Amino acid sequence: MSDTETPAAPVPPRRVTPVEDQPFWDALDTANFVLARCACGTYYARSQACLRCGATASALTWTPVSGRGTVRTFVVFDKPYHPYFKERLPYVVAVVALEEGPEITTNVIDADVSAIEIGMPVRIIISARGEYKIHQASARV
Amino acid sequence: MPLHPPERNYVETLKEDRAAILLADELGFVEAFISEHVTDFAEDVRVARIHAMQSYAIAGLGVTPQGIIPGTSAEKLAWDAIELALNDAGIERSKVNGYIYQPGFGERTSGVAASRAALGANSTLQIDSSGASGIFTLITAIGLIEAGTAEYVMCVHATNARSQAVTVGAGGQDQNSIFGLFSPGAQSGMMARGYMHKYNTASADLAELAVALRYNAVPRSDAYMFNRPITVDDHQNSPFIVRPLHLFDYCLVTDGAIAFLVTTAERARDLQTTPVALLGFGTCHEVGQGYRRGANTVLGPADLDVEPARSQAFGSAGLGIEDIDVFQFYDAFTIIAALQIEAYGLCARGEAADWVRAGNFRWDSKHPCNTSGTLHSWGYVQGFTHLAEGIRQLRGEGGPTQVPDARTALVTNVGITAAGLAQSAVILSTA
Repeated sequence: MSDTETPAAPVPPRRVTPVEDQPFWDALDTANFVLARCACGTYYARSQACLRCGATASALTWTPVSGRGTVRTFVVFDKPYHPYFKERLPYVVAVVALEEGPEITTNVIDADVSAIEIGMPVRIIISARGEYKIHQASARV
Repeated sequence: MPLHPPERNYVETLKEDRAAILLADELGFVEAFISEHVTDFAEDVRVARIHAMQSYAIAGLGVTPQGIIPGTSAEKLAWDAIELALNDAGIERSKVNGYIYQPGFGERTSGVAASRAALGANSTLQIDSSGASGIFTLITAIGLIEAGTAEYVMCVHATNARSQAVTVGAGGQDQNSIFGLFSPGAQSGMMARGYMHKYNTASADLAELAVALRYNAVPRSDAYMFNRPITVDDHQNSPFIVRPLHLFDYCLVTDGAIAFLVTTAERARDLQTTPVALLGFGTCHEVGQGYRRGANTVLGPADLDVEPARSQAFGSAGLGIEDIDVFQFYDAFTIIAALQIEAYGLCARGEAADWVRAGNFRWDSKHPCNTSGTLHSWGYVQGFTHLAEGIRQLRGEGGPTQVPDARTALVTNVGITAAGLAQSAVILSTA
């Protein structure tokens, strides 16, 4: 039987979700992209005390946002650092500046890696990676 | 009425005092009385602290061979470096009553080397701020002595990452892993991409740094890349690891260890080695490089901010960049070195490669930097690498790349940590 078995496909790295940011990931799991908005109007991509007004993190409200942003910087992986990504090379990891202010780390998809440029507009979409939901930046705006 | 309020420039207020006395003299007064009333608010209390810090010295150095050293352990390498430093200082082992170590990649050390070496350590501390740890151990050593818990502190970093075949950052499990973002090289690549975009620079510009780093190692038989020069073409033809960075934008991963002994300047004079004085420290941990902007990532923008590390170090030392004879910039990646050269003020933003092309950086140039080839070409003992070379230059032990009459050295460390970019700086001088 063993010669008919196919090797198990590599699974992606575990989705690490700090307990402080659970609402962000819970929202993703229900297809919502949210940011933490302070009472003073400043947005964050994680739970933290406000750098602008000094309010505690309890003053933050997780709020649905546009998902519109631009590529601030990016790298292209040509070598696998994890088995799951071996067959997905080359791929792009970028820092995307969202129009609400925060920057997030994500992939840029729906474009050839050679077409990615700093400053290009992107749109956050929610996609599946293995058993997890993640946010990715689509070049199709 | 306070004539010398703290916000006033003392040069101006002293001129006013002088004018007031002259006026009093013209008006016919025969005596003038000047009183001094100092408040904590008005006085720069840091002066006292700087004085305390400047009364310490590095009084021993131990550097093991660097390279591929199979059949050993990180703890054994640490022990070897301790023995070399004890021997260099000529100190009785039981007198060393403080031990600070940075655990590295590969096997992580745990302080056992201090007990095998039979040090008399009252405290064994671990410092881990990644590449910034070297100078942080030095600062912490002074803290232990200042607190009265130790007189002689051994600081050590050892790694056997090369024999352990560690790929730094591989298979990690952090928030970024699910996006396939791994390794400090990728974080540095983010910086490099931003730098190239903002200043219209290219990979071939960063190559200048790699070539100059190698140039400095070529004459050094203690360097891993001894006698192996490279060219810009070699850099450009080396494979991409994480675009835009090529293999030769990356530092080495090697096995080896470095230890140094910290004590008071007074005690250092009683030891056999040439002490190296400490003129000023600076640190910054720009938690905000990413997080201040709310990014769940650790990366610097195109313009690396080294404040307040730079101003603290130079302010304490009372020196300017023009007073430094030799520089040792942290060089985990070419971009990290380039950004620091600019941020510390040796050239304008975006012009590091031009500055190197203009004949700077090489050990035999007007501005000698990284005179052993450091992380790129000498060996990978993280921030200890730069401290060791700074110490050697000031002791006149730089061998074939010794800078003539080197009396002052700037040493910088940079750590890419989970909580942001950590930086530390120290200005060393001949005692």
